[in-house]
Amino acid sequence: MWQTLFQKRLLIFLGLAFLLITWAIFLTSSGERKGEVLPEWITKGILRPFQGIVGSVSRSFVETWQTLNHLGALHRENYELKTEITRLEMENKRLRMLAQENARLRQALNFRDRSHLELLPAEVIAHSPHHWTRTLTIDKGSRHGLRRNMAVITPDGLAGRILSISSNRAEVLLINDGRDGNKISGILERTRDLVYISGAGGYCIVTPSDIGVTLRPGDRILTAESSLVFPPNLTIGVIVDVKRSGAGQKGEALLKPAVASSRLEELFVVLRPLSQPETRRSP
Amino acid sequence: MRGWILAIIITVALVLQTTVIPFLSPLGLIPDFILLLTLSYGLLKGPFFGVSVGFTSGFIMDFASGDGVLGVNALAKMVAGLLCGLMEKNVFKDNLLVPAIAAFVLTLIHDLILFLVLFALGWQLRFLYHFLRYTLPLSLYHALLAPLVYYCVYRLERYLLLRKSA
Repeated sequence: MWQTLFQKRLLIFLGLAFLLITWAIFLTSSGERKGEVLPEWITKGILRPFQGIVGSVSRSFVETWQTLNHLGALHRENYELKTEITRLEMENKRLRMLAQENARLRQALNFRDRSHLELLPAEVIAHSPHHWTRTLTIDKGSRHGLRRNMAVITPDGLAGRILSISSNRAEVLLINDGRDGNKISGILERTRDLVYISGAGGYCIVTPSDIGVTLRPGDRILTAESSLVFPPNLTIGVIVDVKRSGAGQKGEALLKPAVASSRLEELFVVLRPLSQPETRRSP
Repeated sequence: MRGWILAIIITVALVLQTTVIPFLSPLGLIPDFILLLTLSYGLLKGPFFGVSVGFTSGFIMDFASGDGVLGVNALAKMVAGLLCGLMEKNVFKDNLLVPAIAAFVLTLIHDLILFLVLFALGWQLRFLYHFLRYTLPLSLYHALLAPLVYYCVYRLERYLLLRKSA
């Protein structure tokens, strides 16, 4: 009888010890870590070549399949695109003249030029394997000049920022990841009011900076000029639903990110962070 | 021998889960093959095997899945493996309905554990949204996929058993 009781107590003790250790690991790893721990580095190192091969094979297979499926439509699209190119070339000339004029005016006013971003294209080699985290692994790392917190963008808008890095790969934390601390500031395009965006796993939550700021469905949110990490005026997403708030409360809205994270294949890392001092042009 | 085969299976499942499957999945649902493997081993081999496979593969998944919370998948999958293992003696192993029902129920439990841990750590997650948008559809999806994974593991285990006895 004593032996059974001892065994039961031992089991309970081991169970509690296990839970305590697990919780300690959770707590220490839940924040943003500067680097990968050794088992992480080894696991990713083993998986990376396989992920690269399988990813590129599947991508080329899908692309070939899509090309074959759309061969007829491609001819029509080609004709339409040629017409569009002619129209865009004319538009481009007009815009180039406007850009030159803009540059002259900025120079005259001693404004800093923020439109030139140094971008590094990167390929997505792995997505997060479940829906709880929203991270991507890209094929560029510190060897290519990447650093933590660099902005990651696509032609559609802001995707996220570099979370952790190793020599030839990096983890990208997408803006809709729900972890504590994944918050950015943005502006409401309609009114230029400041808002705060936090990831909530799949979507984002927008909180106004002030009671007076009203959010409406369809409002576009852009990156703020004041951001130290992200280039300004990039689309973050569009508000899809606004939660009614009581009197004196700020309320919040649901934001659909501009970048569809589940289908991302290629993206760009902004190599030159805007927090770096930029050289002012002489007037 | 079984350990090596299991390591290869887990690696293949993780590679597919992080590369091809996100592009093929309907509604952005990524089936968790590691959970389905854990469930199959638990149902076929009992609690010890269920817990071992769940814990090990969960930790590997945590290490592979970017900068998430380390150990959270290990815990959730270990519990799933344990619960499946405890059912081992009471179910007909030939019946493919068993893994389907187990996958449905255990996906709910697995996701609930993940939600509770992440929520306790301060993650911004809405239970109802995640339950309706991901957990419930994923449970149904897993219920459809589980018999297939279970059958493959069942055949593999039978093959290994025959090879050992020969």
